[in-house]
Amino acid sequence: MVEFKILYFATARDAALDKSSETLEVDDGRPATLASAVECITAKYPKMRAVLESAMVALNEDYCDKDNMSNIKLKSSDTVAIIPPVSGG
Amino acid sequence: MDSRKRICELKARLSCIRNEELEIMNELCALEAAENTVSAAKALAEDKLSLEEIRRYSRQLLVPEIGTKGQRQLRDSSVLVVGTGGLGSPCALYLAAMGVGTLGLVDHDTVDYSNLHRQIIHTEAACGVSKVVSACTGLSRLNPLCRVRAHDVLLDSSNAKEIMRGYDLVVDATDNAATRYLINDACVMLNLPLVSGSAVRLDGQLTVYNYNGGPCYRCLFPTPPPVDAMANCSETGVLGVVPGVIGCLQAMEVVKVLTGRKAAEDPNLLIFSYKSQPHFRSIKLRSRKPTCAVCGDIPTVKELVDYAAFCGSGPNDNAPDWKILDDPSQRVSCTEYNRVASDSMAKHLLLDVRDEVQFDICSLPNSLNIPIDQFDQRRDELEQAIRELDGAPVYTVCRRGNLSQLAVVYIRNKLGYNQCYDIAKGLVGWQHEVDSDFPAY
Repeated sequence: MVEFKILYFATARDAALDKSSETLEVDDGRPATLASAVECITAKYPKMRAVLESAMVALNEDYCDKDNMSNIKLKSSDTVAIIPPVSGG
Repeated sequence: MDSRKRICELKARLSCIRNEELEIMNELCALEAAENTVSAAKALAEDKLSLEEIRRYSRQLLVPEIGTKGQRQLRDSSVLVVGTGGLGSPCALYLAAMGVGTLGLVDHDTVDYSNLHRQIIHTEAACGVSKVVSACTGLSRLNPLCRVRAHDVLLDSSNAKEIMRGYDLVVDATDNAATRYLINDACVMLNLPLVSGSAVRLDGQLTVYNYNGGPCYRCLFPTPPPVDAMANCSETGVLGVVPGVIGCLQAMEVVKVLTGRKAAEDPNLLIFSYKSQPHFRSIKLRSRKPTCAVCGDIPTVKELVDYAAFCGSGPNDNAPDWKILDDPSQRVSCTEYNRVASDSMAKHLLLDVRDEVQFDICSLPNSLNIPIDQFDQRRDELEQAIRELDGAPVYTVCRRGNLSQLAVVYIRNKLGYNQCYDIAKGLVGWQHEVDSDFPAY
């Protein structure tokens, strides 16, 4: 079981029903990866799927390649951030 | 004397005085600039700062990080600021104040009353005036030594490269995805650093793109954001100072690039959030993506494209008018609704489908507020209210007449109640057609 923190920004926060952050856990028997963390988030908030198509994902304030998420290991107390592009000004 | 009449008179007089002030300022600035150009040209030739420059920038010159070298670097640079709104206002003001030599401004819009809570380069007197003209006035008042070039034009694929060529750096202070991708691609093609900021509601972002081997906008966000029509119509809004914070930081990043300090920093995305503690977070970025469509090793985007098509929305942050109800008999005009409302014998329900935040700003008398995105949750309440009508009509209203159409579709199709009409053009239309004292927002 891996417990991780998530930070939601802009439209990701809207999709997470106005939460700026929360702690979730991945516990499916397989080694936890960034991909499984994202699956966990989209299972809870279906609207996050559309947000994630254009959002950046960061792990511990470090940019992550979305194409490589199943290879990025997730440890307990890691922080995942979902950062959609903000276009306004 | 009637005080209303006197107020009008005084306002008219003030307007004349302001116009006169504007004319005098313009002539004064032109003359002073000419005077300064002579001594500035001499100083430039000798690679020195002029007397005026030393006096004006003295406090900056005393900062070791800047000094006379940094000040000359600012003076000898030209920066293009695209957008003179919430971000561009403070950014352009600070860049001119700090002594950037040439400042280009791009905007095609005119100043609107609703801009003034955040676009602090503009004034109430400038409402209706072209934004670049208004911005030029603000800058020339602050620092006539800054050469301002106004581009009163909509930036698009046909003119972007032409306008951007000749500048050392571009600042993205725009308000829509299509223009952001355009500016990014043009900067990559012209090899220009891009200081990009954005802000909405209570959040902001800031990055320097295409600089020193770092990523471009497409490296980070290869897929444009979804076109959220709902977000536009629910009027996301923005707190005045939030783009202000980002715009100021954009000016700071420009200084870092022009004085060479930025070259020593790793690329990062700064995230600002009014609601978070701490307010700022910094995300470390990688270098440019070798597979990036525009700045990668084998670019697929080699010419500027149709960015409105790429993003699914135009180069503005306007919300379009929806055409959902095909049958015009399902809509009523504001004037027609006014007749119904004024007839005390005509029983009906006025259903306001905007969110509670907007309903709190203003509403028509006797309206029931059930936001459209709560229709499913509050279906029982809705059906009860309709039952109590005994066949009398339901009128739906929203701000612009878009969501109200969706409400009619719901009530007619899902609830099976056909005595349902929306008020075309919504409360904005109400303010135009029926009651000019009704708050428009």
